[in-house]
Amino acid sequence: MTKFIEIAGTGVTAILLHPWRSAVTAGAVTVVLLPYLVCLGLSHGLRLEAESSIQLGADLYVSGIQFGHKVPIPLVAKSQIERIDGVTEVVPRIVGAIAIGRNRESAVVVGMPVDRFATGASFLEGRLPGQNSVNELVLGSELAHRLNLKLDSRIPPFYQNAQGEKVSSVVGIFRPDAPVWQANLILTTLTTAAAIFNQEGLVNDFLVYCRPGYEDHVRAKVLETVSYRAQGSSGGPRPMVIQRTDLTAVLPTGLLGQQGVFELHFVLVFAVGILVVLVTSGLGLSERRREIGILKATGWQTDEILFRSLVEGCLLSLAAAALAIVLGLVWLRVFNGFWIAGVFLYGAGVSPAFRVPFVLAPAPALLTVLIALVVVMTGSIYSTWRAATASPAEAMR
Amino acid sequence: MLGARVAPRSWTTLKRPANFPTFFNIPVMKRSGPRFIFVGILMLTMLAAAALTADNLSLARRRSHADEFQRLLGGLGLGPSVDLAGCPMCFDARASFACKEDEGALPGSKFLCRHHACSVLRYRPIPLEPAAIHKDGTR
Amino acid sequence: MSDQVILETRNLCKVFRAGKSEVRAVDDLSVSIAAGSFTALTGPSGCGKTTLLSLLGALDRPSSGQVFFLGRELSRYSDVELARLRRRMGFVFQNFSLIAGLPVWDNITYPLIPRGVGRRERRDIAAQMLARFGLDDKADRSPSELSGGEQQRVALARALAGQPDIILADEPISNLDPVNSAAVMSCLQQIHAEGKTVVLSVHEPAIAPPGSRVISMAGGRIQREEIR
Repeated sequence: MTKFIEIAGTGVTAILLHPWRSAVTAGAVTVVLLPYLVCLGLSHGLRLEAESSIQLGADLYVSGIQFGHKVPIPLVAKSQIERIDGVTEVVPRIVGAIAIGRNRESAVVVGMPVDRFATGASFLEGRLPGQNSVNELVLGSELAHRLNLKLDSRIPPFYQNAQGEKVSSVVGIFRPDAPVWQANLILTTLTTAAAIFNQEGLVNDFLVYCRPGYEDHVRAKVLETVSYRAQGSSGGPRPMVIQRTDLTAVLPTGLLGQQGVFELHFVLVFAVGILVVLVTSGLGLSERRREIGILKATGWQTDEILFRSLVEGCLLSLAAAALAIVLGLVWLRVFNGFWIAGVFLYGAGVSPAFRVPFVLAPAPALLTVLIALVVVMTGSIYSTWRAATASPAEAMR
Repeated sequence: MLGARVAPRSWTTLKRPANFPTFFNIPVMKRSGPRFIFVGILMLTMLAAAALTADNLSLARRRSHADEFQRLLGGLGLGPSVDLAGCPMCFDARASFACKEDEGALPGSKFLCRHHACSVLRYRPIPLEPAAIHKDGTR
Repeated sequence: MSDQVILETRNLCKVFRAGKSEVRAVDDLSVSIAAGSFTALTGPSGCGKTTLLSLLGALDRPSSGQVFFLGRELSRYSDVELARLRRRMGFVFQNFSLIAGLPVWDNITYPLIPRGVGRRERRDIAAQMLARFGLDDKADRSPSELSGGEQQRVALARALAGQPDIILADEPISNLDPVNSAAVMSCLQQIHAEGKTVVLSVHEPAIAPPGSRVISMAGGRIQREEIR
């Protein structure tokens, strides 16, 4: 046992014998692992938020489909859905895209019935649009930052409809740590949203809440009975129902579901990473061969030399993986995903004004250690084995 | 004579020369470098583990606003986009049933559009046609 | 000196190939080394002294022929057995072959690590060796901070630390000044006087101490043998 501890100790010493080689190897692995780890963290964080979006959302989303595209549906259809047995609540919702400001910043307008705003909300500064209010808006933190708007700011008319132009006021701004989709959101009442798009009497979808166990029944009934067609018309949109289970099914699960990360970074980690470590392993290779030759000449066995190299590689991998984890957390927590969030979150700027969702679960962290081990070992063990299996005279030559 | 056997002696009797450059008063034959490296790597690993644990423990607190937000808006947002401009499906598969820039199956690739290609999550489109519904209402 | 043969070669050949050319460094060489003897291999550069020492010390494999250690042929040894055999031999190389970056005391006792010698014991052995070779104050120095003579003494200390049966020294004084050369030769004689077998290679036969066996080599073969 003492012998193995002592040999393991020489593995630690070996790191210091070639400090530049060790530093470059650990640094290269860290650089390769860092974006990989950050992407996994972002992906996991986003997936958790998506899960809560599905779980806490409506039971059914009823919308319209025409010529293979999602289309607005008449608000009057609400009563048809409310009549279905098992339905407890139907909430019309408008979700649409606009461009606002001098730089035509993209924003998502969401209109909800004003009675939905009766309760206060802790996820914003200010308040929600009030009863009988017109053109009161709650802005996303990123949008407010880009448009340089603050609470109680007045927004010059940015849309035109039958009622003419209206000045809007900012009554609330989402907190940066609210879910990521608030970033460019404009939350307002259904009436104001309809006015913004000049689409009175139309909504995007109905959020349908059912009694437990009635989801399938309500879905079937909606498809069977609800019609968006005007009387006497044979055309018009058909109903489309999305159930919670449909959404859960499209939500990517497990590591393989994070395809963007894997398809992009597996190549980076395994192709580039191993190449980098092979190159760094080549640093001082002749000196290393000579050293192994001396060890063999003085009675070290091949397996003892490989064990020494294994300990050295394990420690370097551990250092690289741990450094990548710490730097990843610092990058995402302290620097809020500066630059990298913009790469993977469409619409996020270089320095997001919202809290980037990020969860580094133990599994990806362990995977990072494993990848570091594979990359470092592939790079170093082979060259050590080659030198250790040669005759000492040849290795020292 | 040089090379002649000497009486056994302990290493502790060895003295460091006066001009030996050292930062600390480390005894002779007790190298501190490997120990520093080992302890350093160990501490770095522990720091990473502690940071991970702390980060995961604070998850519930960080996500406290998320539940209230989603309840109010009836579930909004699913994917890696903060607006509808690039790929509405990336923002929310409920907002758009298909990606408007869907280029179909590319040879040797699974990417649907340029925004999906670089995302951290990739959604399958929700089927446009509802599943067959039997008379009893089951699918 | 006993009658027991510690090392023996029979029709030993070592051929190095570089492209189409072929160099016979050791050519059909048969020699035996008695336990407790002091043998000096002499000859000009390229005569095969270093190659012969490498073959004797199981540092290289012969192209043909046999090497015996205490009557057992080396080709029958497995890789592990060869490594263990090398622990019974002490090597001193012309270029010292110390591990740069390791302090002197660690260089001396590094070969003892795979033998399961604990750190405390290794320190004691190092202290003893350092005292023996007049390097008391150099324990924590790096080899690069030592003179050539001191480095060669460290190499000698390393070779002796494992209490080997035989010392194989390849031109140990060729890189040293006369004073250091004398010191190193004095060390080797002392080691021999303690009953160890010593085989060394030198350019000049005159350097071999009185009573030693001198083998003159040329072209990979033994030309002449004499007792000084």
